[in-house]
Amino acid sequence: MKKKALLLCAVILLVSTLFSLVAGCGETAEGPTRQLNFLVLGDSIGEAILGPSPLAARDLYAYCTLIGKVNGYRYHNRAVSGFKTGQLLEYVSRPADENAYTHITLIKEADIIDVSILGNDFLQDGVNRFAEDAMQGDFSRAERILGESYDNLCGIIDRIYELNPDVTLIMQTLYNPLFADTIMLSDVVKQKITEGGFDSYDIGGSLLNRLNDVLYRYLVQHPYKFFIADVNAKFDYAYRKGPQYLERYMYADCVHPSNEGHAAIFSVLQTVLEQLGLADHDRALQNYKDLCSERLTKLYSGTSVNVNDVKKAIKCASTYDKINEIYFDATVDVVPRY
Amino acid sequence: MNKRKVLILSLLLIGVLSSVFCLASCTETDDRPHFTQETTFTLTAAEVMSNDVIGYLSADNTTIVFFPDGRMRLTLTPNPALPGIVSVYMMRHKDDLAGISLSDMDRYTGEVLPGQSFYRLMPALMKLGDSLGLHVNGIDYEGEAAVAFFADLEESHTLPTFAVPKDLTVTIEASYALCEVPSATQEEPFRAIYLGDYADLGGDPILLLTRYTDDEGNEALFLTNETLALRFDFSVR
Repeated sequence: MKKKALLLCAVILLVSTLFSLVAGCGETAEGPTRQLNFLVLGDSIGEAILGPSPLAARDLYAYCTLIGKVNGYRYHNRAVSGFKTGQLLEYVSRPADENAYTHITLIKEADIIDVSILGNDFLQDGVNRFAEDAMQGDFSRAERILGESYDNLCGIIDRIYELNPDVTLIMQTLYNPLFADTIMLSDVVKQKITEGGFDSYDIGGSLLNRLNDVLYRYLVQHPYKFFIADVNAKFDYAYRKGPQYLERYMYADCVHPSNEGHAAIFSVLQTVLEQLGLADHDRALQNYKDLCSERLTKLYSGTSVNVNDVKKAIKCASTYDKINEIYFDATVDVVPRY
Repeated sequence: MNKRKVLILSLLLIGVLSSVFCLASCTETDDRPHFTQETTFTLTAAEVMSNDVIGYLSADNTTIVFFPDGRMRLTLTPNPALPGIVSVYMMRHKDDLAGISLSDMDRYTGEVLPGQSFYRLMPALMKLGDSLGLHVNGIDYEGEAAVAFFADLEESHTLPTFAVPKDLTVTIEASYALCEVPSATQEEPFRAIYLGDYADLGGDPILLLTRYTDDEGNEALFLTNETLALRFDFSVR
């Protein structure tokens, strides 16, 4: 009996050793597992130089890194501030890598590409003019520009699939930043909006719906070519809850997402990835709790934030949104240590 | 300031910040590969948005020095004539400068460096150095002219005229690591230098320098920034 027990122990030890070796090689009983490659392309929303605050904490707040870290992806950010659809098309159309950023290689090797684009097609052509047109019910200028945007989008998507036919492509919708206190609109235009009995957020909505419709129109013509991460719906929900919640999602320039805005975009993207079976919810949720708790300790120890209480609340949270709510309610208007 | 100017300002700011951001997370203990001896690269070409801008800089004194302990220092030195030209320009356009709203600068300062204000520039510059490793050198912070400048800025919220110091330089300090980046579009991997920290599992350094051998057979490198269509080339001479 003693011999049998020893033998049994030896077998268990051997099996567990073999299992741990196999696991260490990135394989499971179901076969080899591979770290997924996640790539962000597009504009400054994705690039996240302006957005995370303090800038030194970019790696702790930008949604690209949140997605990468929480899911254990190999992640790269090749979004470029100021990019319009035409510039992104030129960027992805380059025949080869030109430097160590190797963006063509990263597109070729990506399992998932997330794109934030379209915003600058509007922004750089004068938001105030578009707002004034919208008040008069004239969207001809916007439609003309968005016609070009649509053509560019077709080119971008064709090129991405040419480089990587198997990639999962996710396109983000753009949020409406024209809340009442925005600095994006001039005082003159704000006055016209007020005098005309309009609401700036509604004006913004009429423009943003047309902008985001570029994506939906494409999907009607080319079903299943990409998946939508509806960032606009998330931000709009915040606005409907109360404009101050949308303002919390915005950086001081009223253009880029704030830390909380990035967290909201992370939540939208993460949900899409889980729905597509590209992310493990339980593991990601736990990792996100850990990440937020570590970030809290790093940035808010020694401030007025009760770090231990907040960490306990985060531990009990059951959704990404709840974690975000707890974290940002506790840290809003508190200067971090950095 | 109209919105177009704000947009240009924000793009410029992004370009500059993305070039200095590498400093945000420097490793203290670093066993990644480094140059085995102190190696200095000197500026040979500088282009921004298709414009040759090397004339604005003192090329011989604009360098990147890599140290064997994993630290690097980028020094930008203006052309010696530039401080004088800027100072004269500022004197001539005193009233125009006073009319420029600095509220956007202040807004960005408060986000990039929470708790800081552009109007209280001296502590903001100190924080910039501590937080991001970017140092503005050559200013006598305790000197009469600097004290008066900072006090005037804080009080008036407009840009006072000042004599730009002749020995003004900007330095950026960061950690670095040598690496090879495989490419699917060429046989040889890119030889690169990561600036700042990166995660083993697949983090992403914000700034990558690409190494090459120049026409004269010298070890060379370039840094690029897509936003500003910027390319600065340096070589060991």
